[in-house]
Amino acid sequence: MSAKHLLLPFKLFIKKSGANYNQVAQLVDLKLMLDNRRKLPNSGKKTAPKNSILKQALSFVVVGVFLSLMLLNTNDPYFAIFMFQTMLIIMNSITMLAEYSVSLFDPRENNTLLPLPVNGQTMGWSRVMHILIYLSVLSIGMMLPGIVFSYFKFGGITALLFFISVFFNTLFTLFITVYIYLTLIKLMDGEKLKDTMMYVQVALTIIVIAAYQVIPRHFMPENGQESILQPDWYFAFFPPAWFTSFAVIAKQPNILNGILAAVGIIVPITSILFISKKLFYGFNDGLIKMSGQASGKKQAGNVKDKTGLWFNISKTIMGVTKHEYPVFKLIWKLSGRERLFKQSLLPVLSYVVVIPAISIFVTGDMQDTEHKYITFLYFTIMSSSMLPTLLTIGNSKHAKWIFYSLPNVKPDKLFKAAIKVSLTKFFLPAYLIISLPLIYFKGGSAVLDIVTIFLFNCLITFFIQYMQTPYFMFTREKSAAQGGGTALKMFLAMFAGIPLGFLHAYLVKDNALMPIILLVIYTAMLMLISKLGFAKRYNWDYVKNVNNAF
Amino acid sequence: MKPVIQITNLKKTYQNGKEKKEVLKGIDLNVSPGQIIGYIGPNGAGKSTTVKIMCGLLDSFSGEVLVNGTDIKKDPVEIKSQIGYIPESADIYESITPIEYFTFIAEMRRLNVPQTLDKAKQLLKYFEIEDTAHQRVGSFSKGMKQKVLIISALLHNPQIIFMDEPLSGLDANSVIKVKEMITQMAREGKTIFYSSHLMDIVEKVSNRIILLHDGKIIADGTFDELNTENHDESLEKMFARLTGHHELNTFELNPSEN
Repeated sequence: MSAKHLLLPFKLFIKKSGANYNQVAQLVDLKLMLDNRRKLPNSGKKTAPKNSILKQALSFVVVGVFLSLMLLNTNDPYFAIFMFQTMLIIMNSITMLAEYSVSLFDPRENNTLLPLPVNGQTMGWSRVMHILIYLSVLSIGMMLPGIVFSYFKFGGITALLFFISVFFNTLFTLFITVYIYLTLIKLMDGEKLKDTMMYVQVALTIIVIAAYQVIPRHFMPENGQESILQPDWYFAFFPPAWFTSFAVIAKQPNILNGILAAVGIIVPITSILFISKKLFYGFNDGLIKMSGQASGKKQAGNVKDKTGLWFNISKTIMGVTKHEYPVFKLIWKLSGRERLFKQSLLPVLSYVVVIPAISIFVTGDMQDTEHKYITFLYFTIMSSSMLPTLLTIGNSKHAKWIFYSLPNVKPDKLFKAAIKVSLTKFFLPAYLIISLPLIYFKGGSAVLDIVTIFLFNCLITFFIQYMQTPYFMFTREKSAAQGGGTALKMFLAMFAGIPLGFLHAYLVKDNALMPIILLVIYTAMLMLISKLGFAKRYNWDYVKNVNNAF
Repeated sequence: MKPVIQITNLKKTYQNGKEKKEVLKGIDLNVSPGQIIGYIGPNGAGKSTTVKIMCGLLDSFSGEVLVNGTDIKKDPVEIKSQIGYIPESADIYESITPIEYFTFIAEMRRLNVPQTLDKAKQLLKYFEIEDTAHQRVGSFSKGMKQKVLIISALLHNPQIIFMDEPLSGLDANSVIKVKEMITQMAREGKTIFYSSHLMDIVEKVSNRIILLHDGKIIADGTFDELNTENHDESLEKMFARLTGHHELNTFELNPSEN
């Protein structure tokens, strides 16, 4: 189906805003075609499979099934659908922030498209609609189990309204994010704009994750109580409540639900109108600003060449060898400057701090007499497991030849050095922020657990790198077709961390020697994989084939 | 004198799905030390592919390639340590500075870092970009990036230098400087393999011209040797004659308007 048909529901909005509907559809078709021709991560194939987004959506179904199972005994439609809508907003926000914000101002087609007679509104609509197509597929994938669940539990009309509310919810998340970015673009310029955008993204991610931890907990019933949610006036401040009220309006018709449901329709539509009428003007200027073409010479000025004390400490901690050192130093410097990489990494890294921090400090798990904090520390693998993939993200796809043209480059050393940088320069500081207060609260006995769990994080990161297709560092562009991968992988990693954390806590509970035994096991496995595994897996034939440099 | 580059029956095929395209169709070539080879040919003739094979960047080919007597298939690392390579497009990590890049090159090649950086600074000065030594490459023009690449290929004092369109993006003054540099290196006995489609430069710097067309060498000799029979006024005209484009076609920009 062409974009011309897909975008029909928005035709009126598009035309009213001053955009050219046919051009918007043509641009969306072009973007979709290019997405299908770009490489996917971890595939090693020359082109992405045509149905890659459907596969992603299918993976999101798993998340929906998981949530449905959790809510199986719930008889209150408001409570159940509220949980689904919250999950949808969280997942969509993370996906927007981590993946699609880059697509919004993707400068790759600037030279081709900007000289054409296409106005800012047309360009803005095409970018947003392109993202909306992907986001909708992922949203439906994630909510499908919930809709089926609602159909059997609360009836056909509720299921149908729930289905419709998913679109409003998706529109809301999309347009609110777009609103933030477009406002920033209007206010700032040059490098300041790019940096601010990056930090706003990190801040938003922290807020979203914190909300994810706090809101559902707030509404969760106490043990033994039935899960019932009675909407109140203050629910107007919780966007998931708007869409929930819309979905349950037939089942629970009352004035409050009517008002909240109306808000759920009005807010997305007015956002669309406001953004397309007011903020899409000058979208083309925004594209130029984001590509750095506006300021002529970008990033001018001297750069600090020296590496600091933390570099030397990290080098020692990670046992960087003579062979690894040049790459370790290069990646250390590059990783601090590659914006696309930092833009992807910092939100992911913020989870290391936010999730355990809320679990340990806000919910009072710190005062437990057992070792519950261990479980929460294991949550950090949701970030460390992402490091190998994130390291490949960047705009330097044409710089691969450097590694081929030099003698003495061993591919296993290359990837090992990069992983060591990501673990010490980025992950370890975040891990220490959460660990050091633990030592204060728990005493010296926690040190061994903290070290052991850090080693486990290292093990996971090396293992993921070992399993992953070895793309060179900062050479893989982002494509909208990859969307949703980050949120999903993190979600799965988080759930993998829970049983491991429980196991660790159980093992160390009555056995003073067990932390040391675990430490030895993790160290041995780490050595095995980094020394033998990497050397065996990486050779130039394989790496060249994957990176397709020439 | 023993050749520094010996190529025997070099063939290279690219495969795109079921389609196969033979880019090099059996190249035989010997290059003596101190020669400046002008390797010319139309777009898609296989010039860059030949250079990449000789530099050890491409390894799926048939035939034999010996550089300094070393078989490229058997020991590409050894060859990489002996040669310098300037690629056709100036693609380096944008967030790195020239000095950081040269340091990385020196460390990877296991050179004395302070000495190498001294040399790099001299070359930066020669190319008049010493002020930008500590600035990000991302802020450079295409020509400035190209200068960084040229410098990085010379840091280890290689005896054989492969240049693939090295003047891409350089201004007129810088082109003169590179030409002087090439001549000076040839005087020192270095071998230069200069691949380009800019005929006037090739004509001026090369002492041997090799013309590649459709994956085969169709002419090989000095400009005077190649010019004996047909008396072309320039290498450009000889190139057009040999590659079958001797009559420049005129075309109508707006045919419908006539």
